[in-house]
Amino acid sequence: MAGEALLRMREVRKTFGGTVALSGVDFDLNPGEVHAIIGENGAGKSTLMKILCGVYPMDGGSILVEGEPVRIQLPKDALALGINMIHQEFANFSKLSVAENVFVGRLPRKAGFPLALDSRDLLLRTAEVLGRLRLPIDPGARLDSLSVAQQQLVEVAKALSANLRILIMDEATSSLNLRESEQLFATIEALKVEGISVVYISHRLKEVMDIADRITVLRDGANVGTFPRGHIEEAAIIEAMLGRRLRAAVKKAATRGPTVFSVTGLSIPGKVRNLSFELHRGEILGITGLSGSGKELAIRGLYGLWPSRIERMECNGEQVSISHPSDGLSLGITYLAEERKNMSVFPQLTIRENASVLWMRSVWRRFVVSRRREREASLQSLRRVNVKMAGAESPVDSLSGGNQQKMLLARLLMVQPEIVILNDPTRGVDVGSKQEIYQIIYQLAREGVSIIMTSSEIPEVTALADRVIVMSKGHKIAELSDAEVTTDNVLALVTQAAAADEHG
Amino acid sequence: MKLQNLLRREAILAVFIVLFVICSFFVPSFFTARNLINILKQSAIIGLVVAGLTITVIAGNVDLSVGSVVSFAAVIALTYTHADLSQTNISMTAQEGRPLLALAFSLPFLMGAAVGLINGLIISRFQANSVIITLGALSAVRGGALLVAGGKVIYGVKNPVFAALGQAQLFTIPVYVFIFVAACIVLELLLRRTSFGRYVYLIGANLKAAIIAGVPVARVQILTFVISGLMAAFAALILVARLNTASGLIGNGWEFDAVTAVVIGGTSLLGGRGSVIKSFQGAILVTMIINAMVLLNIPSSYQYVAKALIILTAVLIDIRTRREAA
Repeated sequence: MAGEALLRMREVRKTFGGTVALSGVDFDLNPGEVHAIIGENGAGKSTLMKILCGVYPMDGGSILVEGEPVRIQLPKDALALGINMIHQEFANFSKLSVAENVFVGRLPRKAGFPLALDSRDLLLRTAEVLGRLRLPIDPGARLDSLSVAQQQLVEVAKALSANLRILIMDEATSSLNLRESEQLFATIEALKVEGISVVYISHRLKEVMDIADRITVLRDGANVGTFPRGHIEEAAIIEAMLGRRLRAAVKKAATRGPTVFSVTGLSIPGKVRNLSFELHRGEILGITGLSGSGKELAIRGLYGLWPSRIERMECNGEQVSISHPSDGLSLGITYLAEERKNMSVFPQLTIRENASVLWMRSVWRRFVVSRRREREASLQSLRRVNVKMAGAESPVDSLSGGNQQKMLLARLLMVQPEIVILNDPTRGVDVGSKQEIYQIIYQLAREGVSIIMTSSEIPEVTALADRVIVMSKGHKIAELSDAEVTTDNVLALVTQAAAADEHG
Repeated sequence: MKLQNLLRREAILAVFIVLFVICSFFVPSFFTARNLINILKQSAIIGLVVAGLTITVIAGNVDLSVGSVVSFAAVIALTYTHADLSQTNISMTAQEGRPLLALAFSLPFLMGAAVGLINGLIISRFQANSVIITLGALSAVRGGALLVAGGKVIYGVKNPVFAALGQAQLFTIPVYVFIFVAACIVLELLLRRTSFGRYVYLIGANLKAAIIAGVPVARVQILTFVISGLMAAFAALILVARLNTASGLIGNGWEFDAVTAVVIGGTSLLGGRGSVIKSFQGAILVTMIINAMVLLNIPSSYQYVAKALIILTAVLIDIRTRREAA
């Protein structure tokens, strides 16, 4: 792809508070090009694109469109330049028609009657846009009669109907099945034909390698390389994404302790079917799969946070059941929820009060809380996970995301658990804290704590876990251990399973 | 900087002191021992309701049935202190009155606890909106009070022990004022120093997180409603002893005044933040403002408008500080 670049971003910098999100990133986009950006959570992908869309102002750097410097300070500046974004969660009017959604805010009026909607013109123009994208969607259909995938394609049509030059897609396939993804890729091809450039953000390596003309890898807020298609191996991309530090983490030798916990026949109607596994002492067991595979629901069902049926559960050789988190705590099992803000942090309270939440249970019977003991126990636990804070009496909101996450680990560790369940332990955490959290998890396992974990990022599970259960469509399709635990193996298994589903 | 923090933390106290000084200078016969004791007397009884309600509100709920519980408890208490003996026209000796006295003391508490228990059970079991559920309870309990009172106003506390609850004084200050202060301290300690109290804050700050952390959410929520019911019953006993009368309409609108005091005390209606001591200050502040208006001969219709302005101010301050914190 030679010729003049449509878009150049140069030395773009952005910091949030003290955290550097982007440290001088360059990014180019050619006309009619599909350019993928990949990287771990917190690598700066979304921040870079939000700057391009005028959601965040940049702290430094420049943006050039067709060689001309432009100022993008508000979303409307970006729209005026023909830059539009399809969000992971899109806002639309589900009770209105496809056509009304496509032209919302710009509905055609009848000549001479400024208040009268010209429905015929509206339907015709919508049909024209849908036709350009070769989408078999009825312009008059109500939006909520369409599948999520089709609604997403309507969003693309909406962007195209206004002067579109650059379309940004953020994790567009995360909720789509294979066939739906294929349809989306066909739509992207149709956009290319029209000369529209697409920035494609995804963590699905395979699909990125298939559709992107170029791939840019971000890590720790820096561009670590831009590669044309066909010039890079998947393994090299993963290496670039994760950096050296994670590879340096040595997998433990396979000395497997006794079984401390086992589950037979865990089922959640329509989501998880007959999942069984054992957990050994001091082991890190990963449960992985694509989104929608049931990995997160299985973990929630396990801890009584989602209605599930379990044939048999054993803890240290005794039959047990967990129908509520407090049952789990009584068995020495603690749980980290996947959403920090909604499910874990108590705003307005202090760091100490947040850390000691589970510990409180141990004094519930005694009723009166010893402040001295609470402070000592909290501080000890907070220091162990190296939470950076002004003091334990500061409000919890004063901690950065990464430090809040470490504080939550301190909360789990404060009650000396035997088993720790981690549901996406590094979601929304910066790269530095991520490494620290990995070290804490390793350390726990070395101390004999058994860990069950899942993550939205497959490489994270394969990097941490000694043994991995691979799930697809609610089924356990494989169990890998030790040297077999690689991202490549997991991805191969899930794509095979998905392909088999398509044909079967 | 430090002063600023202190002012923010003790905002109500600061407002109170400023208004107190202003009133002392400009409102005739405000700064007299008699009037100041009056303010304490007027705040103390509803203050007991406020103290109990504060805990419910910190847990993220609200109990609107407290006003009705006051009236039902008052009617029950008075009915049992003078019972059928009024018809025989024989004044009771303390000895004879004892079993009835025990009922007069215990039945209102049982009723208050029962109302709280039912409110709490429904709200915690279904995670129902407490405004709606306790609004229903408000109506039902008011009905109970009117039923027992038979639509009449009951007069006369015949039992001297019971009467003492409202009449006895210590250093010219009624004993129940001391009871009020003691109750506030006990409830504040319950919030600050016990696991129950911490759970109240946790549930109010983030219900979902509390459930995941294994907090016994239902038990704690139920207990907060039982406490507000018990405190309302307690207030009713003192009210009856002091007024020497009860009816199915006594305590009408107290839920509004109590919520006002709680909000002015800086307890967030969204839960997770607040303190009994602050609500105590809120209760006294409202009473003082109304008291000053009475002394200035401002018609009572304006007092209602004044209450609205006070509550609006308090909520705006709450939103402001919340935004600063975020």
